[in-house]
Amino acid sequence: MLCRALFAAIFCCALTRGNNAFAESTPNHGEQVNLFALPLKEVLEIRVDGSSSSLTSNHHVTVFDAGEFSVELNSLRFSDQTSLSAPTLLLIDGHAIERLNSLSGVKEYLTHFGPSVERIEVYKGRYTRYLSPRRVRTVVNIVTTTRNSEEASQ
Amino acid sequence: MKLLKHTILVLILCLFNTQIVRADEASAIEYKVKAVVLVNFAKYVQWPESTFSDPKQEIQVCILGDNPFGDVFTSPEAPKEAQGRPLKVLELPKSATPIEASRCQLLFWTDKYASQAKSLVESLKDRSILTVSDEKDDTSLVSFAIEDGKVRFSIRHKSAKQSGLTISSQLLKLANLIE
Repeated sequence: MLCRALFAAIFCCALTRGNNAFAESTPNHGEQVNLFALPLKEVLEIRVDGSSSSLTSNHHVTVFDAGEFSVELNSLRFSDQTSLSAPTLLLIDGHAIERLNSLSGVKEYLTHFGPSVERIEVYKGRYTRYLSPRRVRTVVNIVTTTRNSEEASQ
Repeated sequence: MKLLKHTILVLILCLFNTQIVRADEASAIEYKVKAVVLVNFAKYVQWPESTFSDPKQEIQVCILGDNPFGDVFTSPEAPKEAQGRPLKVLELPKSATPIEASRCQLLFWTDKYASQAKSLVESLKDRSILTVSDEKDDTSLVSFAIEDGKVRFSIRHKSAKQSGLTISSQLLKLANLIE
């Protein structure tokens, strides 16, 4: 009886914590995402109240499916996470920002950029023009409307 | 029945724990963003020449009382210099004396230490110190606020000028200007 109660408790905890995957993985984010490298204007766009709803409503987001890896932005749910266990290069508007070992950093950037995320491009394997350093297997490019409009005005 | 009771109890505890994790997470992100903004203050505010005794003297960012930033400033990615000067973050005790605080170029405090900060600022009013409060505060030159879930900051531009501080227009255009 005790064992069953213990098993149920562990299972319940796993379920609740799984639903909070973003918060769970966050302690690693600080190591992966260098906010100090971002322009102040972009840092001030980061939501600090833990909400990520801005991603899911009122913004049209095109999601590119690259073979085995797909991103479902609207539900902030990422499928096939294991395929990202290989080192991943994160680009913002084509500029290399971070080299990540998991999807959590990508998720944080998406949450931070919120409404300005226009689309996400995912390159796997054969898109070798981004494959630097050599061990990077996946490239995620977050295209933001903010940066694009700034570039256009310059 | 006993198993069900245990399970429900543990589930409630887990949900409660999840909420705590979320609150901590939000707070951690908030102070990470504020830390980045503080570093930008060090980059975009000019202190009078007389503030520094030599060209390589460090810019001291002081935190009065408990440090809400955790290890953000000591992380490897945190900038180590600003305006060609080493950037140093110093934790001041809440009972810091004006002499201790006079070494700071930037003085930050949370709401909890507002009264201690007020008396320090009174004693240091002839010094060019960029005073930054975590919440709206009449004592400080800069104050943070959270608006629509995002970090915002207000600057008392006129008072800052009177203190001998020159704030870059790049910073001013992102701020809510008071006075």
